[in-house]
Amino acid sequence: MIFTFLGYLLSVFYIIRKNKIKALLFFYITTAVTLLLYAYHATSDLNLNF
Amino acid sequence: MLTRFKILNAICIIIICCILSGAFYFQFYLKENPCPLCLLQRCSMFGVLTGLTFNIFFSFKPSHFAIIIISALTGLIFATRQVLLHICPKPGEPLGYGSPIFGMYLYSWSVIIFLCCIFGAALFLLFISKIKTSDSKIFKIEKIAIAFTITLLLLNIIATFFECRIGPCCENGPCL
Repeated sequence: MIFTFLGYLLSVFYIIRKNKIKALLFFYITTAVTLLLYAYHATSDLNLNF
Repeated sequence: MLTRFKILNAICIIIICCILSGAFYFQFYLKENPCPLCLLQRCSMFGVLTGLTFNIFFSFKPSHFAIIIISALTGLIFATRQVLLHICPKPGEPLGYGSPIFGMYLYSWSVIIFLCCIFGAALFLLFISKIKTSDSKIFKIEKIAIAFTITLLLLNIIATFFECRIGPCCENGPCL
């Protein structure tokens, strides 16, 4: 979970440095990780067996 | 026109930062540790803040509002799930998670906040064609808003580290 906050911090850092590509990259990676974490929690609640 | 929008943008950042600071009041003063879904909602709020920060440094563009809407929608998914988890409590179980504020739990407020973010982004987009997208100086209020955001991000990193260490969070601390 700590890495999602770190990802947004890095995104804001690159925005301040005016590096839009890296800022966007960190934003999209972090959003994807956040959604994956949500999927992890949602499926662990259900005790699914794949 | 651009100045007004820039100040409004900074005010939006400060409002969201104040909401996130309120979450710290519940965490540290009332000793209510955030659940995994609560932390994910905080992450999405930082996503919204990232979109608003893009507006400060790269001027107002529809793609920046797309970032805000994407983040608000992900946050809305998390908040709605939490509302649905607690909407019909079993007898003997607590009515909700944490303490209610003005009669509603934090995750219910979160739904309203994310809906407001989407509505606000849509309103900004309505008037974006009237704004000249040229580089302009950064106002003091915008610097304060950015400093507030970075401080809250750092505080969240420290707080999450002490709650869940490096891995994902579970109900009572780290999962692994």
